[in-house]
Amino acid sequence: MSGAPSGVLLDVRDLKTSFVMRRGAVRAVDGVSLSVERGETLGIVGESGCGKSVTALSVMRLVAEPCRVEGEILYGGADLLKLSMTEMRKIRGNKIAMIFQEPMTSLNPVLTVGTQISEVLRLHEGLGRREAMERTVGMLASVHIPMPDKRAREYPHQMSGGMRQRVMIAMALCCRPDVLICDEPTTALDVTIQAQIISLIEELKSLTGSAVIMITHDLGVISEISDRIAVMYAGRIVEEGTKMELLTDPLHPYTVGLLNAVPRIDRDLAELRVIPGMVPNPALMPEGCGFRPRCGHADRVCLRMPELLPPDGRRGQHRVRCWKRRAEPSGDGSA
Amino acid sequence: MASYILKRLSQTFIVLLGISLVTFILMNVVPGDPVLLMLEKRATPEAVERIRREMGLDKPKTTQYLNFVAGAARLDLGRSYFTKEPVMTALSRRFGVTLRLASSAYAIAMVVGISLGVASALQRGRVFDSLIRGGAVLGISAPVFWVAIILQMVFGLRLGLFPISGIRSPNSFVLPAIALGLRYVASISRVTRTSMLEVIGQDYIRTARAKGLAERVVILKHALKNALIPIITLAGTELGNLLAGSMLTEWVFSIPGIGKLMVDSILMRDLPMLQGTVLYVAVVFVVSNLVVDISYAFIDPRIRYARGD
Ligand SMILES: Nc1ncnc2c1ncn2[C@@H]1O[C@H](COP(=O)(O)OP(=O)(O)OP(=O)(O)O)[C@@H](O)[C@H]1O
Ligand SMILES: [Mg+2]
Repeated sequence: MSGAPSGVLLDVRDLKTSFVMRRGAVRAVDGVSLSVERGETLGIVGESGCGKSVTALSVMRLVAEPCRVEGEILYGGADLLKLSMTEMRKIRGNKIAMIFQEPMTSLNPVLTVGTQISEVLRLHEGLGRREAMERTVGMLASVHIPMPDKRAREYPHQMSGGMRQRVMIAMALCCRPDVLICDEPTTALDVTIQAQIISLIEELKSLTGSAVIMITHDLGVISEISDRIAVMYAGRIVEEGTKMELLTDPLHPYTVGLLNAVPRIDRDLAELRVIPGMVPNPALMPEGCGFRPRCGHADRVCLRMPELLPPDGRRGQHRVRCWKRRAEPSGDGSA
Repeated sequence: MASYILKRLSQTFIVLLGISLVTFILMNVVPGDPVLLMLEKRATPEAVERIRREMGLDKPKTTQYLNFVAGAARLDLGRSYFTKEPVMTALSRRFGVTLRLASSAYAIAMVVGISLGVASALQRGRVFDSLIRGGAVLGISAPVFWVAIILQMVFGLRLGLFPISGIRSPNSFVLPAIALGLRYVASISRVTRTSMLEVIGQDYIRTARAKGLAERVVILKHALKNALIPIITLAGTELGNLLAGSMLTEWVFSIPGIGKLMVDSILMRDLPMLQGTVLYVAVVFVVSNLVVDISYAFIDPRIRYARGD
């Protein structure tokens, strides 16, 4: 087995996830590679339907059947895709935890929130009922839920969406996971609550030292908390780099479009541009570069799929998947 | 919670009063003079008149009804025309038998029905699922007396495993309970399957899996408890159906329960006894509905808090 580079906690290599449909397989994630180091926050951005949730669920091995997941997901010296279900269960909720997009429906309506959190502690840390409940109340306090011992005895329907997402965070972090995957944790919440939840995740991250994978379609959120950013489009990563590289020097036309679509105080609203067109349906993927039909720079060369490579003549972590990457070819005859 | 139960109890009381009125009216429109039925043909008109007075049948209908209600409140439903046994005594004696039959059938229906339904949902689309679903259609559409007779022929007469009539040994209840329970096994397994499939697709089941819980815990703790809500609705009404609908089964297997008592009283035109059995059926339905409503509140916290205090 090829060992992960030092410091890397989770290393996803060439992940391909397909759904087996009646009319053949549909590939929702097509060769995604990403990694996170301890204490690092990786942001994944992309429009709705580009495969962010499927990527996250693939790491947890929670993709809805019937599906096929290929590639390698290296964690703790093992490939998660090769583990038995029993071994995988010891990792879920314990070493790698996930917060979902839908706080309103992600908690079980017939169990108290205390039961739902303490269940994780009893399972992974072997705590007794009493101890687990004490720790649960502590966790609820740490996600700033007032009167945590009373709230622990309540049911999800007695709480607001923001409260429920706090409960989900408490649940995900109670075993101090190495990796926390947040799948659009704030999309369903209103703006003021969004900011609170994001800063809560930040705060707890610094306490537990977990690596965070923050999925969102909101570049604002990402640019606030990520160390590195990966931009996904149509099941692939089209650009990745440090936050600085990506925000100050976006290379892929899609990333440029995304940045232009973010309202900013220092720019006129008139300049705000939305990328025309829509994410292609994975069943009807265009030939070559997935962004070609919406791209202003596309020509014949784009009929072949470009690879995710460092832009020519540059160092750093920046990678882009585009034939038209801005830097000019360095004249070694390949152009 | 307590106030909710109290409210439902008082509603139940009003419903029961209404039922007693309907029962009374029905009994009074049944053709035939009960006194003439009771007495031999050659009874003198004086004797008929005397008995009519003794039974209070000479009074106005409203008085008769009030007497009936007053009696019922004291658990006095009159006496059989023929055996002279108090109706209440006969009912309570036979209720024990019906209860044993119905609760055995119910246990079979719940245990087998829910297990098959859960298994069928987990095996969705596979051969096992198709078999269960096909079997459920058969089970629901097969007439009780037909199932009963087949069971008697195969397990009673051919294989000699179980008695086919009477209640001399505990074994006597096996075939009747299966005959009575079969269609409820079918209906409960169908509802369980549908309900489980809906619940398994919910986000909170994915959350439960994401915690690392074993599939057994996910299904039995997180899914089944949610799936139980529609099952309880059905199970409650079915309990009423079982207790009140055992007539054919009791008749075919000669089991001296309330169902058989009812059929016998119809055949013999034993009006007080018939009235008692009809009232029994009504009470069973009303009470089982009450139990269903209250048990909802125990299972589903959303109802408990919405309707509670
Ligand atoms: N269970 C499934 N069966 C078939 N196709 C699916 C399934 N789940 C997701 N897909 C498809 O995979 C693609 C990627 O979906 P995914 O949920 O990962 O998008 P996303 O990037 O998370 O979008 P959003 O921002 O809306 O959450 C979509 O085209 C979607 O239709
Ligand atoms: Mg998503």
